[in-house]
Amino acid sequence: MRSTTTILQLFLKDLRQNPGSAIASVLAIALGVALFIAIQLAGSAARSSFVSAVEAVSGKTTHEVSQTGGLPPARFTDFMDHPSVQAAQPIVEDYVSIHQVYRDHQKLDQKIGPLRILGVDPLLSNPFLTVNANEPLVSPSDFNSFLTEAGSTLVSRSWAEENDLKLNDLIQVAVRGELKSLKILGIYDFEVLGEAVRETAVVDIATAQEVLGRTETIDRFDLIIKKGEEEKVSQILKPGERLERPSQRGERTAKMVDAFRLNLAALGSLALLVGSLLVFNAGQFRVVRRSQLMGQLRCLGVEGFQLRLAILVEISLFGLIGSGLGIVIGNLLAQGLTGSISQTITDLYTFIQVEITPISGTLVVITIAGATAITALAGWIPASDASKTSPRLTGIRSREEHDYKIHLPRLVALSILSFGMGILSVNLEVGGWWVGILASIFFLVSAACALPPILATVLPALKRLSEQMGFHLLPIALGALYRSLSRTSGAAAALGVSLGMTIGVIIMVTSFQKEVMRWVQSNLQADVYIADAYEKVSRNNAKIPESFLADLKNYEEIENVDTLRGLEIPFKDGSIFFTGIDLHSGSHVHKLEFLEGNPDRALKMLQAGEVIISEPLATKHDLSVGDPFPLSSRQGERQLTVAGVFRDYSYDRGYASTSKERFVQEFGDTGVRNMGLYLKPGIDAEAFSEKLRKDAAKSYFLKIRSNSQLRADVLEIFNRTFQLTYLLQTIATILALTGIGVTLYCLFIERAKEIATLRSIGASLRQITRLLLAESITLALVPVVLAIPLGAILAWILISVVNLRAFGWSLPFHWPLSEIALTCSLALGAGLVASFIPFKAVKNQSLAQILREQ
Amino acid sequence: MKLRLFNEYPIQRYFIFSFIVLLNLMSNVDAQDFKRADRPREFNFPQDDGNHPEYKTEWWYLTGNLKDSKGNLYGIQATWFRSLLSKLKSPRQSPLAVQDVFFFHGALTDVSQKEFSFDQRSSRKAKGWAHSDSENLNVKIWGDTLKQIENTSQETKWEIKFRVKQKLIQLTLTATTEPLLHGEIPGLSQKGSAEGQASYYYSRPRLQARGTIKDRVSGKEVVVDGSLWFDHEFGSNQLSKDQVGWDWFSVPLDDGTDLMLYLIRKKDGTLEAKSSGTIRLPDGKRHHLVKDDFKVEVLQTWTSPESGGIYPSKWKLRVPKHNIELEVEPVISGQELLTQGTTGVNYFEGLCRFTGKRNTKAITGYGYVELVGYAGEFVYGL
Repeated sequence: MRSTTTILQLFLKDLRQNPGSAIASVLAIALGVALFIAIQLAGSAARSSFVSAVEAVSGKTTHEVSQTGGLPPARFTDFMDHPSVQAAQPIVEDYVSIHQVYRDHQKLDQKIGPLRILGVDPLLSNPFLTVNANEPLVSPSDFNSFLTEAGSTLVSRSWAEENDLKLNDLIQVAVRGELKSLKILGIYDFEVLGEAVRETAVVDIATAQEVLGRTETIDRFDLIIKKGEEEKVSQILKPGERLERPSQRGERTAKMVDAFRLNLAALGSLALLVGSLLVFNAGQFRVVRRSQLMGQLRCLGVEGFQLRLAILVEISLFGLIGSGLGIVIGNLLAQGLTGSISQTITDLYTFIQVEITPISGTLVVITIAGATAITALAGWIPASDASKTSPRLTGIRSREEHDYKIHLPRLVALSILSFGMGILSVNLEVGGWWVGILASIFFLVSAACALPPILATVLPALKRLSEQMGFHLLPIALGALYRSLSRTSGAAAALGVSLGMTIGVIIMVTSFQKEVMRWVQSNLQADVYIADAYEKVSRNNAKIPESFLADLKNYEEIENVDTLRGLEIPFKDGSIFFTGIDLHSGSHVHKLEFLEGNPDRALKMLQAGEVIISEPLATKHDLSVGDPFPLSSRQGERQLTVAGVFRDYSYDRGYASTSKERFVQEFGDTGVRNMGLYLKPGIDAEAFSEKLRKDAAKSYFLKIRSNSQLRADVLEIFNRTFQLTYLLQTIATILALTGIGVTLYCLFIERAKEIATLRSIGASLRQITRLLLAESITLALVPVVLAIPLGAILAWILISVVNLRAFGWSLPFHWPLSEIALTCSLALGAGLVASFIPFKAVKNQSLAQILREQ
Repeated sequence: MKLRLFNEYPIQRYFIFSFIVLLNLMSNVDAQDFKRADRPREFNFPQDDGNHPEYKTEWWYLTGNLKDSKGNLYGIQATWFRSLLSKLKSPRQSPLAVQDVFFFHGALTDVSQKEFSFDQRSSRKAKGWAHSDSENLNVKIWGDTLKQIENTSQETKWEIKFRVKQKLIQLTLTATTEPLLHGEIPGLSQKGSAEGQASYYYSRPRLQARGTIKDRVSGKEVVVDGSLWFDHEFGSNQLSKDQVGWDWFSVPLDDGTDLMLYLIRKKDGTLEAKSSGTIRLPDGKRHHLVKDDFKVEVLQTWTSPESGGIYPSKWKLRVPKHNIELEVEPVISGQELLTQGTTGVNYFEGLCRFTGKRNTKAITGYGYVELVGYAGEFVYGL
């Protein structure tokens, strides 16, 4: 035991003398862990934001009654009175957008963003939400106003303080294309609403109905049902009504972002792989660096197991410190990503404020244990080899490299095995998109395992070739790289893997983008598009005011109008977008690209009240023309027939349309939520939309865009959607390049003697520079070359397996050659830059001193 | 008289501020916006059994005793209360916008089981939630309803249906007497000396009741019949700030006498000079009783283990003018309605046995006593 302590003290001394490589190792581990943590946190945050938003408001609610299009208020009595219902509360709730805040009739500067309106009936004695307050929250006289005056609201203290809001401030919100005012009557501590829903205005249910423009309905009835009596309550349900647990609603909403989470899951697996490789590399490096010291210790009679133990302790400490640091960095990184995630989900799905939840203890333990184990394993393999070999041979680098190369055939086998598994998984008929992710991971592992054997094969071959071609320095460089394979292959594999993934995603995104833009081109035919400006904030509450529709009749420039009514409705275990369309002669429906079904016949059936469905919906639920389409409307359960399948990229959850008449019959007139205007020939769409915008701005909050503006917006949203992907990819690649940099640094430092010797026998500084540059380029070039075929395989999986299974979209391939070339050159360039700092350090070393030391 | 308390409402924990509404919903509305009970009124039945929206507060109150086929005795209390919270300054779009607020209190005393349970609910006036008709008696708060089902020259019939915890009480009520108007000016019941500090108040004693008490969980049902006392009162701002509570007695005696008395207690320990009562003798003649016409002596007290309130629990009632002497005692102790989760006032509302004599003849009857202001703060502004 004592000798182990002594060895550790020796290690420590060595550390003090060479802190640079120690710091580099810890950093490498930390970065690998950080990337993994960041993506883990971001991915779970997206989902938990939905679930927790639902849970925070539902409180003690055991069940909820809801119906598409809302419930009639009088219906509430039946549940209030039910013997199995212990308590009931009607809820009207939605998001609105804050437009402006006024204090004493003065506009305030702050822009606050979205606000959740939570309408409840405070007259009901229900234990749904708990308030922790000992003092009266509002003055009694104000409370009378809260109940009786339209627009009175209470807001949470934390939110008010954060945004400098005071009592009696007027919050002007935009909803359904119009402005409504809320007056802050009370600022309260409403702890149960917690952090996730701080931006909440608690209002009387009547105010909520008025502000949200749905005075005839209630969104849901929250119930506390006696244990085991759910069945008794469900017996009084009318057709179209749903009784579910709040968590089911949360799950249903959370399902919406499944496709988005897929994106993160894919990146998460990449992060795990790159991170592990970096950690492995760092672990290995620590031991390899120790080899000389170990050799000396073995010569002094230290036993192999003592060495192993000491190494294990040291390397585990590195793993611990590195992963601890990584968790901190990962947390920060995740915080930085929240804005981007919120924006993307809001763009694509619904308004949500994603907040990174504090990292869970389990994740911390798993990460630290995992990272430490990988580090220890990485160090253990060479350490155990070192301790097994005779003391004489220990510490001789060629010996270590020899040991490492013994492992190469195993890597080849592992690579082939992984490749085979990848092929096998791709061909799996069962399973969803995760099969694609699984296959990708296999291919990535295969590539990572293949890289060291490839380097081991390619480097000697290149060396011989360069010798034959008469180069002097290049063979030395290649030889040096070959001799240090144990140190360099991990970093190279990390680079190859992350670059391959990047190329795969570039191909997928480009193919996607080209196809979407083509589709937009052929589908967006109207000249001007109008939507509720805050459609995003609340998808089911978007509406273009009727008075505006009436105003439109006064514009002579308009030839034809397309209107769209739509609701997000539950469908099977998820939700879809269901619309009612105008079927006049100019309607956009005639321009739809039908993938299945005869267009004329489909339109006729549509006219008769049947449905046409989008490709994702057809793929996901295995629906084709002629199949029954179950619809749960306000009137009850309906069975429609699928009349056609059309191409659509606007909703990944699926999209179904019927005629306007049928829609109104089933859901009531929910109002027009989107419209397209066709202008008379010769009218300039840009100028007209500008004019319309100006006219409408006086009293409405509408988004009025010309065809070209809308296309530009679509492209922008598309790019924003993949921003996160690009961002994380870049981070992964930068990390991989950092890995290369760190590796080169250590390598160069280690080879200081060799370089000094070269210089002392007459090599010029310039020659040395060229030598080291050649090494750097080669080290980056091999993974880059490997990344191209890997990227192509991954792109194929992403498009043909993952995309199709997750979104239901079929896409033709596009090969963005220039972008791939650019990415590869950037990686090579970055590889050179990464080697710059270590190179400089080597260059500045004092020759005499190094040789003296040796 | 039945002046209800509003802070006793068990809002539990939904919003801590809920009870504040109930505490204050009376005091925050300007009484000048409403009609006051400040002049004689020509009552017109059955229309006056219905709603009077021009007055700020109104309540319909039923108390009484029932017996099942085995002779088990039950006491019931059911109150529907309406309060106008605001007169809308501008029309509102939502049909749920609050103007009137309704409350319901129900209690059931199962004498043989020595059990007392109570329930309470509230609602804004809204279609299907709560409402009261102006044409005739039809009051509803959620599933708790009181309505006229028949009105001919011979017979007035009502139907009452309400819930006390898991018990559902459904009764048909038949009027057997003429309405009994209270106050010196018949129907105008003075609560203080100021003008308008009064309410319009009448009773319908001896409503013949027949129906069922059903357990909603087990489905078990008992058929009951008995006699209920109906009170109906409406007005605006009847009480003053120096009044701290009241004791109220009502009993239909077996010799045909109907008696109602109330004492309003003041902060300084004295009784309100306008405390009064009404007696209808077996000959059908009604007499107004002023404070000095009757005496109430407390013989015993009961301390509530729940609220800590010390309530009178045995009385000697004397109406010397009519040679009446009665001893009053609750059939079971603990008929207190508690206001859990709020800081509100609790009150006693219980079935009591009245025994004694009028002239020399022994009389007896089951009536109700209401005691307010003995456990906690009192609320003003009625």
